[in-house]
Amino acid sequence: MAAAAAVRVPAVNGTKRKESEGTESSDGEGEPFPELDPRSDTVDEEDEEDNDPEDESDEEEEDSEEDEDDEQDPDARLDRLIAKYSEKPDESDPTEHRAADPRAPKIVQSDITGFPKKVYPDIDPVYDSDSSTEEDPNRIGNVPLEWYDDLPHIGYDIYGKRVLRPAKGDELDKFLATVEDPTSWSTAVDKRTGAQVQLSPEELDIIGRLARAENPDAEYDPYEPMVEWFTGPGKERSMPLSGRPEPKGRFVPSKWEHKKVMKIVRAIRQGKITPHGPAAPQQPQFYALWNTGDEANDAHPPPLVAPKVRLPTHSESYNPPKEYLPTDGEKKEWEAQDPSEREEDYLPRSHDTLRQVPGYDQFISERYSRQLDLYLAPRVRRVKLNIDPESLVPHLPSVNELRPFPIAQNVVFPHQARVRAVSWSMDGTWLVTGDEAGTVRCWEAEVGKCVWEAGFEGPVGAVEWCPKYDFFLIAHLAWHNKGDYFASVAPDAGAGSVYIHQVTRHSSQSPFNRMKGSVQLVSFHPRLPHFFVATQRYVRQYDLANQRLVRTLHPGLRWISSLSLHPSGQHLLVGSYDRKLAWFDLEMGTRPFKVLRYHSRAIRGLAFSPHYPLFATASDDGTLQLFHATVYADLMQDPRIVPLKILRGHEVREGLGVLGVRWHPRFCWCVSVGADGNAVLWAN
Amino acid sequence: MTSTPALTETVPLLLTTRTAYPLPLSRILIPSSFTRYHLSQLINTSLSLNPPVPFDFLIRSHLLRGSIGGWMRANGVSAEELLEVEYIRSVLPPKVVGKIEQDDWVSALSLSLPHAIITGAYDHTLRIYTLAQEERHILHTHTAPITSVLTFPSPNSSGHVLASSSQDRTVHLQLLPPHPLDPASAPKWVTTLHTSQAQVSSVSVSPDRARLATATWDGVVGVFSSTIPTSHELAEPEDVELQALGPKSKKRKLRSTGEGTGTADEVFRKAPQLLLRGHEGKVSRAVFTPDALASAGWDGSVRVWDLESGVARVVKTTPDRVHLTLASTGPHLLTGTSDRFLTLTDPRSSALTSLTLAHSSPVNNVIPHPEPGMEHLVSSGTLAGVVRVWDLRAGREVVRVDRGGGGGKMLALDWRPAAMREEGAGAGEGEGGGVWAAGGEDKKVWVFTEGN
Repeated sequence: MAAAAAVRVPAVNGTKRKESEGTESSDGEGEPFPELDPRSDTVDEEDEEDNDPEDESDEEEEDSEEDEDDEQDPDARLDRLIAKYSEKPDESDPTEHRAADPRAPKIVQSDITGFPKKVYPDIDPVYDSDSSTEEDPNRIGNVPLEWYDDLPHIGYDIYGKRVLRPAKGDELDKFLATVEDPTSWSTAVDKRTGAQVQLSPEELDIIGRLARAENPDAEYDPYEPMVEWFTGPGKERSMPLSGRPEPKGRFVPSKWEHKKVMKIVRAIRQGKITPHGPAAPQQPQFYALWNTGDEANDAHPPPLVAPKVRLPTHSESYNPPKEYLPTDGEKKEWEAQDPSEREEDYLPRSHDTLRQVPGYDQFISERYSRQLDLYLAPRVRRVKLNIDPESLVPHLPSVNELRPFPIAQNVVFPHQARVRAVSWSMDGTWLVTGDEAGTVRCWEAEVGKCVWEAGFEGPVGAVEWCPKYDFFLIAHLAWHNKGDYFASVAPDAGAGSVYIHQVTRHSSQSPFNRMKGSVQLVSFHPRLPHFFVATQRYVRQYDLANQRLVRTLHPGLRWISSLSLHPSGQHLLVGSYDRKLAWFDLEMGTRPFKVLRYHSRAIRGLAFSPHYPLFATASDDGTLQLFHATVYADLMQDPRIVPLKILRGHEVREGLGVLGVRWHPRFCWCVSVGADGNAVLWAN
Repeated sequence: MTSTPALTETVPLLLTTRTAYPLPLSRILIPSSFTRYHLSQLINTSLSLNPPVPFDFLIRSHLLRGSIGGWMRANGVSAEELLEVEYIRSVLPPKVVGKIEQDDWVSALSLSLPHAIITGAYDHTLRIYTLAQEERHILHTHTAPITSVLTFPSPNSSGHVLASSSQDRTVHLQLLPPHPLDPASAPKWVTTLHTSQAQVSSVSVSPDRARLATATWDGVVGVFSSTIPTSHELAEPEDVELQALGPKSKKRKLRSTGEGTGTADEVFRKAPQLLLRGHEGKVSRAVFTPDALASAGWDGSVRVWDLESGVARVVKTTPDRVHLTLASTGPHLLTGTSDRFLTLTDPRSSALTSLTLAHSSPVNNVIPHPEPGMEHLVSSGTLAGVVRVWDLRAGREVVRVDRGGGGGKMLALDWRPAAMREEGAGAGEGEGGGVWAAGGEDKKVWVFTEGN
């Protein structure tokens, strides 16, 4: 309680009230503060109506003022409250009690003063009225009488003289008295006076009742008939309210309540209670700016939502339409079914009124199954990892968006033997092919007319058109981009297997003194003075200007068959006879960025398109596969490789299919050569 | 019972034509069961044509295939509407009338000389045949494969001029005698046209025969006047030719010296009036439109050149599409492309192409109908050897000639359609109908005529 009072110290009353109310000072043990509603004072105002009309008007004025500055000035309201409760309400005033109370004073005009005065009726001294005025000589008060047992007197009278003990006969006298006096059994000794008192018949009756453990009042009848207050003719209770007047206590302000209120008022005045609670300390107003208000703050999962109960249908009505009522056959069928097989677990029934609907016979079993359900199947929210398998597949653009690429066979250039090598002229007008029979043919690419032909003794393994001048070379070799240098490879020549020749100076040099492994292929970097040498398993990149090895690439392939550099010089494709293709990003390291295996037979040749983001691979399975390969300038972005088309047109002969592929220097055309003796121009 | 109401149902038609066989313009009622054959017979009988001329019928740019009633049902046209039907002389499926043996692949063909077939081949020769496939002249002026050949009436003398382009970087003009098919009078080589130092891919003549246009492999379009020069306009390009010919220069020297001694008439070198540069690759063909010059090339562009200023008025570049040939029909340009399309381009519109017709092989020959009013008929030839005639208004093929798998690659094609206006132009020989000549890999010139 003290804590509660302390809490209620008002902030507005910054200073505690100092004035003291003298004797009314409270001990500080405040009662719980009741609701102080100024509007509830109307009863008090009515009470004071008769006595103080002036006071009443005053109060009304205060009230009106109070209404105006109700909120602003709590002190004024407090004063008014105190004024109201500090005056003891008059309990004898109400007129309705005047008539009911027989002891109410009559107001008569005084004969002497002429003013009205109250005359109370006389009191009738009946049996139970006050008997303290009876004469009693012994005035020792309420002290134990055995104090006087050894004394000759039994006390003192009002004047201080001894009251002598009356003479008491001896035992013989007592015995004689019992024999002679028939009333002696009903006498008793009054210890106060020491005299023998004859008990009256009423007193004997009371003693007898007490002895029988009955109510000593003779008037009391425990079996008196019941008064029929509410039953009986004319007294039936038809209304919940009786006509009896409200008891006075319901609306008269209680004295004790008044005292409690005054105690609180004093506590308020002394500042021990504050009426409106302590003023909350001014909280700084700020907001979590980055808070996402939608998210639940607690770490707990939200409570499980109970499954919704299905709404009842027409057939579940107590009086369903007739079409819902089952026929006898349906009833029998329903009853014959196993309960688990039934579509509905009830039969629609019709009742005239809702009152006639019987108790639900499935109640217990349903509750039981529900309990079983709760017990055996606890509700748990399981977090499933919901991954759409489609989202794991990398998004590839539609092939139609990546047009153009070669799709159709436009021109066929026939040979009599397996065509091993093909090369485009620098303007893309001419084509040169070489076959295993040693025939080299130069074709007009547009129409496929052979315009020049030459024969060699051995098979022609490679032909390359010079990128600068209008002639081509026939060997196993590679041209530098500027057309001045070319490199030749003789795979079985050991250390001297690679030669680099300069056309304009007619000079040759062997750049490598010693070569590990047999050299399969060589290639020049398109922009840098770098040189790629592919042995059976590794690809080495050399810097020709500084004469050093730049890096050794490990494709992880068994036998490298083909090599192609991206026109940017940043990427390298390596094909192998073990059907695999390795894509190297030269900036990324010595391991392949991607290894693809999609051909069913060995890869014989591959080529990057010089102008389009395309590459093609030729395989012994007789197919030419086209890929879209976008290379991004951003180093963080991986190249996008999309399979485009499988070109079928070459026959597989003696286990050999397509032996090489070359791209047109300007168009989206490529030419492939095959073991069936054809070179085929594929165009978009 | 069901056929009688269909027979009695009639359709109002208005038959119009742009051919030389007009009917009086009036509304006629035709049974709806009539097909193309009935309508054609109707016109033939009403005009009392002998021999009968077959006709095709165009209803709202649809070629009539079935009955009129069927077409109306398919297109939702009610029988009350007046249908305007245009009839055109139908192109009959051709039949092979002969094959002319050649020594090498045939690379150029021309039917522009009346009653004659001129061929150019990879063996550097030009040959002139009669339509009856008799060889009349062999011209050995060129030193490299012929790329195109044509004749046109001489602007300043009687007779015709034969122009041929070749991979030997020149165009030769030869004067044909007034009776060119007479074996006694040989053509006379008068002029070489020098455009650039690259192979010439084609030569063409303007509609008024006053100018020639050449296209070369290095992207230059040359414009020449068709007059015969009387003196050399250019220095001797001997070094270039020597370099280009390489080992064959000996033959060239021999031939030129023999010519110099044999005839007093020297062959004059002619300089171009205008060189149009802009193409970034081989120009496959340059042709004259009614008011300008158009060219198409391997860089995917079709250009229309202003001949006064020499600048490209219109450039339409279709990426990744190689134009193998070009033809001009009316205001439109037709190109055959390596991605197997015949495209129709309108230089006046902003659209790249207004119509594409798909083929199964690169289209390397496009010949439109030469007569005004018949521009909607186009013959196309593909590398695989299929010859088709298209109706551009209907957007579908009218006639298709397949050589039955034989013949190999077809490189050259020419078409002389049946004369529409000058009736009986070759009626005496029974060759008034259309003639096709096609040649290629099989070293034969196939001659087709419209047959029935």
